[in-house]
Amino acid sequence: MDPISNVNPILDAIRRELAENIERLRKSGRLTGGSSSTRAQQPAAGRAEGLESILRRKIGAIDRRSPEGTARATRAFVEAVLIAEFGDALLADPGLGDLLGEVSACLRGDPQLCEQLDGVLAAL
Amino acid sequence: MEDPACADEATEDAEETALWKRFSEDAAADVRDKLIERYLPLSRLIAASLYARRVAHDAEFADYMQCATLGLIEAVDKFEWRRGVRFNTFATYRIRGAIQNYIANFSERREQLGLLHRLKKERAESIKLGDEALKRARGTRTYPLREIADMTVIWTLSYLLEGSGMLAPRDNAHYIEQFYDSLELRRLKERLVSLVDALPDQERRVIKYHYFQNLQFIEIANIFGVTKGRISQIHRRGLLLLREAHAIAGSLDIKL
Repeated sequence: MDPISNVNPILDAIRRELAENIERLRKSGRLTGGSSSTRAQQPAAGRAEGLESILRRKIGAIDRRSPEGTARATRAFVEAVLIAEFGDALLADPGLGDLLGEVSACLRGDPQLCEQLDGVLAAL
Repeated sequence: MEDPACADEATEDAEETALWKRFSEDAAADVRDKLIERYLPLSRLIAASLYARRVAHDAEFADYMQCATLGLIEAVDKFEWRRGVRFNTFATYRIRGAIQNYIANFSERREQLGLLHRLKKERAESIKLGDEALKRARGTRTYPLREIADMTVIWTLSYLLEGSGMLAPRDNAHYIEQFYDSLELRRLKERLVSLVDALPDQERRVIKYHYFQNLQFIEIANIFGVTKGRISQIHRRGLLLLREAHAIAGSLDIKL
């Protein structure tokens, strides 16, 4: 019996198309940039569990009762998510602070999202 | 033994709570003044931070400070302490909003910033738009942590693409890397910009029109002959696919 696949055929086709297009860009020399971090290049599968434990460690260490606690926890959340997604080389970038500030403000700027985020932070 | 710093903090918190309690009961002018005075350093900090990152240089720091103070006063008047939200968090967005509104309405040169403000606003609405079809296609039930983490990544992609139409290619023969350069983020931006060309036609065009040409969704909708809402959906899907493309490109980098 075939194993049950959780791969959606439509998404699979889109991913194939993306991979072919990326390969074309690479061959034509139009694929530029990229990270110097090897961690950024790891496949996404299984990241959620890793991320959760990283978040528990980082956010657990923040005293959220302090006046800046919520802001610091939000920033730590964003930082952990971005490092998991794009690699830890970002930590050495002087522009990371601004990026964290902007993204945190976007998350906190929406009341509904803010409430969800507070729920997630409280559960960590 | 009790930590004196913690004790001070607890006293401060108790004072703050007492002030808010009094203010919510009788809105006394003297309590209001005390609250405003208490948070003036916060408004100054926010004004300074936004002023340091200003795009147009014809505005004075005093203007930023004035708007920040007005934002703070409005925040004090509208804050409901019984909801259990920290005032600093609540006020930060009010103060930032007051300054950003000021920037958006500031003379002729503000026109461009007004546009950027509108572009940001519609991006935000598009990103928040739940793409149920895509969630179903993924075949998984999202849980809050994953959902917010995904949203965080999508916001970041949007932020990194912002203004990417002006991302000048480096002339390697003449450019010398400086240690303080924003190198990693620049590389990431360059990678994302080049990956836009790997997106399916519709998504690629919407992302290019919106981020590289600064066209609003309604203007793109007129070009496509569809509704603004449809462009908003395509924009969001474009960002999600860009994330996929970035992951695929990363895994291809490893194989090489």
